[in-house]
Order: sequence, then C-alpha cells, then structure tokens
Amino acid sequence: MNEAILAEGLVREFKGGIRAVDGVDLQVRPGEVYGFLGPNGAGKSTTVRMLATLLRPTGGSATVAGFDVASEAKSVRRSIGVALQDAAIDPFMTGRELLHLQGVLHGLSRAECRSTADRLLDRVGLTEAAERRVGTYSGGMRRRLDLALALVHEPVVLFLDEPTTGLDPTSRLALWEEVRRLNTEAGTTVFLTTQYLEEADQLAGRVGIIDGGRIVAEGTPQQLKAEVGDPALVITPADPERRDAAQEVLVRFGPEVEARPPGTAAARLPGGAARVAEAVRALDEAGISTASLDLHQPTLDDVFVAKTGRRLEGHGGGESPAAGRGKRGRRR
Amino acid sequence: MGRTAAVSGMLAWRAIILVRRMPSVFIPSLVMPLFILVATAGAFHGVGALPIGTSDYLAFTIPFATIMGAGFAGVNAGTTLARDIEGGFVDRLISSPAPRVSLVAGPFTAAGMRSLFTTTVVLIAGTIGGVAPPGVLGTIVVYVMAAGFGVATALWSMGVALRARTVQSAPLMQLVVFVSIFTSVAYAPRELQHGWLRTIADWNPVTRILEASRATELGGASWSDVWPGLGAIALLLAVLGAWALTGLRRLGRD
Repeated sequence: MNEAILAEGLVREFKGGIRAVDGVDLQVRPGEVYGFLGPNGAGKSTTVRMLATLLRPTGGSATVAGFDVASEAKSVRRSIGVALQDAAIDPFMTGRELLHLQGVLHGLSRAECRSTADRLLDRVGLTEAAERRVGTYSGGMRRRLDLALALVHEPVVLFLDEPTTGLDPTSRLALWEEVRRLNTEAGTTVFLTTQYLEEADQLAGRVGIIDGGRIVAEGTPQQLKAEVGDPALVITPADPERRDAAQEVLVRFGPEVEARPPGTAAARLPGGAARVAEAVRALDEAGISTASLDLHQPTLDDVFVAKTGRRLEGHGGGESPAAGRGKRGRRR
Repeated sequence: MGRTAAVSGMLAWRAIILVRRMPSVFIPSLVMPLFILVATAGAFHGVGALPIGTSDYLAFTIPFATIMGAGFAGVNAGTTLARDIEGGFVDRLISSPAPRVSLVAGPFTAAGMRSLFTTTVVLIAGTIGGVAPPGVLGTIVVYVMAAGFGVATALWSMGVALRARTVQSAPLMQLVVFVSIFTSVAYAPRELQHGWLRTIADWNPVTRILEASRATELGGASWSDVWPGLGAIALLLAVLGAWALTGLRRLGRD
C-alpha cells in the first residue's frame, strides 16, 4: 500500500447542482495523522462520507487502504474505522452492548466480541459505565465510546469527523491523548476533520484546509504558518487618540497588518521577539504609552485568512490576529 | 449467508431490547389490540345475530386484534429505522462490512417475533373471554397470518423510512397500514359490505389474511380458506420486499 488515502479530483454534487466537494486531491501516507480543517459547510464531512463509502462520489476517484471506494467498497469498510460527527450512538443501548453489536457487524465471534469489548472499555476508561445505557453518558464518555467502537476491528485507517466538537477542555485533551497513542502505538493512519485550529495544530502531522469544497492549502502546520509571514506586533495605545501615531511608528519595522481589532496598531515584525524591545523603545521615544502589547505568532487561522480572505467560524470572527496566543505585556 | 443471519439476528435482538426499553412504544402496541378486542366485541355484541359465521362477535374480532398488533409491530420497525437514519446510527451499520440486507432483515424478523407475542396475548385474552382456542393447526394459522402481516408492514414501513429518512414519515407508515386493515373485513364479512367498500375489500390482500385467520379461529377452516391468506402474504412479502430493498439500495446514492 503506497498511500493510506489517495483522492484525485473527488467531486460530490447533490441534487440542484450543489457541489459540496469540488475536485479534492488528497495523499495521506500510512501512519500519518492528517488534519482536514475548514468551517462548517466547507465539504469536510462530505469528503469523509465519500472516503468511508457512505456516499458515492459523482466525480473523480479515491482509494482507501489501497481499495477503490466505489468498486471495492466492502474491502474499504473492512479496513476503516469511522467515528462520525455527533457520535451517532443509540442512547437506549449500553456501552458493552454497542461494542458487541459492532463486533458482530465486523464478523467477530462471540468470544472475540467479549474480549475486545473488555479491552476497549478499559482502554477508553469506560469499564465502570459499561452496563449503563449510553443515554446517561456525558458528551466526553460518548465520544470515547464512539472511538472505541471505531477500533473494534483494529482498522488501518481511522476517520474521525469532528471528534471533539462540543466537548469540554478536559475531555478534549483526553481524546487527543488517545488519538496520539493510537497513532504512535498501533501506527493507525488517522484522518481527522476539525474546525478547531488548535486540534489540527496539536494532532496533525499535515493539514489540508478546505473551503467551498476545494483544498486551498496543504502542508505541515509549520510550513503553512511560515507561508503567512512574520509574527505581528499588536499594540493598544493607552490613549486611543494616538492610534494613528502608533501605527506610523510600527510600520517602520514591517508592513502594516490590516486585519486587527479596532483601536489597535499592528505591523509584521521581521525578526520576531528579538525586535520587540526596539519597537517598544521607538514607541517610547514617540511619547506613546501602551495599554497592552502582543506579539502574535501566525496561526492556522491566519493561514485560513490568507488563503480565503475570511476567518474560520468561531475563531475570532473579525477579531485580531492577536486574539489568541502570544507574549502579552503591559507598560506604563 | 451465515454472516447475514448472524448480523440480522443481532439487529433483531437489538430491536427487541429497544422495544422493551421504550415503554412508550411497547405499551400502546400491546394495549391497542386488547382495546380493540374488548371495545369492538363489546360495542358490536349484537352483531352476532347477523350472518357472520358465528354468534360470538368476540371470536370474530380476535383475528382483527392480532392483525392490528402485528401492524403496530411492523410500523414500529419503520419508525425505529427512520430514527436510526436521522440519528446517524445507520451510518455505523453501513460503514461496516456487514451485509446491508441485514439492515432490513433484522428489524422485520423482530417485527415477526413481536407479532407472535401480541397474538399470544390476544389469544389468551380471548380464552379468558370465553372463546375456545382454535386447536393446534388453527392456532398455527393465526400465528402465521399475524407474523406474515407484521413482516409485510415492517417491509412497507422500512421502505418508507429508507426513502423519507425522517421520523416525520411515521404517520404515512401508519396511515397506509391502518387504512388497509379498516378497508378489509376487519369489522364485517364481505357479504355484509356493499358498493365501493365491498370492491376494495375484495381486492385488499388483508381481507384474505383476515379471512384465513378468522376461518380457523371460528373452527371451520379448510385448506381452501387458508391458501388465499398464504398467497396474500406471499404477494405482500414479494412486493413490499422489493419496495424495501430498492429503498436500501438508495442509501448513499442520493
């Protein structure tokens, strides 16, 4: 098997001529964690559904684990594990019953179903809740069970469609840890769709950004961020009237950043943190006091903005490139 | 074949335990046939004087109640499938290498089993009400007719669910099943029906099913009474089986 997932010009057109996926090319290597990042409606889930044989492509071709998704669907299904959006789990069944059912679906014997269920329940920390109906589980428990269900037959490729949407931070971290463990210990290829930048950043070796059914950028998170350019120095003058003056000072160090929060001045800073002190001195010399200062490293959101002109939903929505991480300081 | 049977059995087991865990589904489907038995037999007690083949309207109503219970079981198979499609549970099943036909075979097996259960309850209630059981062969015919109708209505309802893919299609499933029962010989034999109702009853396959069940229930059944019922079930299973399977094939295509 050369590629775990290979898609060429993959298209899905729905009734009414709506092209949810419009010529997607993908190459995911065995053992890789590939992050598929995009806003709601970008075509992430439709792509996953085609790769998981739940939806027939209307154009292009794709293979998963070396099998064609259209003509060798059954072989694809034997090779993949799928945890779809919203953890579609029957709330009236218990965790153990669902694992047993999943085992039967994948052709496991009764004894294998039992031992696999025990092992996976233990692995995802649900042994104590195994006999409880899933309707009583928390969101995090459901997601962990969903992951366990996808692993019943030890798939070589695992599709996780927005696995942490709606989870609290603790549950999210626990799930990330499990995905990492799965990838490093079992060598499972993971195709992960997400609208969370941090998730893609933390988990994925490579990231594809999809918008309007097309891949607009692809590479390692570091490569993509490097494409955006230098870090941005964003300052908020203590006196809002001095914003323009502050901007004039900052553009001496690098090009102006136009997408920034109101009332702030911002410029790219070639050299990054090493030149912050110099910029601050220049502001001092111009008599400008700052209420806050932020050195904003490029994020995948900035990559998204650079490629599409828009921000990802739920990630700042028109706010600054400084809205997230960076060194924060406060002077005078 | 073995895999199909194993997965279908598993899905039938799931359907049965879900019914047990959802009293809101289970209780009406059990109570309604009993209610029909008691209420109809009580309200139309005097009809026993008419030429309906028996002087006991309760005995006349028992097959109607068993068929009604089977209809509920069948419709429930469809609503459960619609719920599974809407909630995404079906995606889990069809993204596995399990034979897709199990998705239909499991629930219809469960519908048949549930029909046997409600039929047993109705027959016990009839016995308590003073109607003598129809003997071993007669009882088998009553069970076969009920289970056959339960499976047929399950196929109908699942075909609807596979096309509509929403629980909101449940009223359509129910409407067709109940209209087909009420325009048959549920309340009165064909001899007492006139005009367009008689014409519909003549052509309605449910008429043959009820007549076969009723003839054995009333104790005078012969092969000539039973085979039209078996033929009607075979016809319904063939047509509605194709209806459900073509719906199943559509999954993932639209």
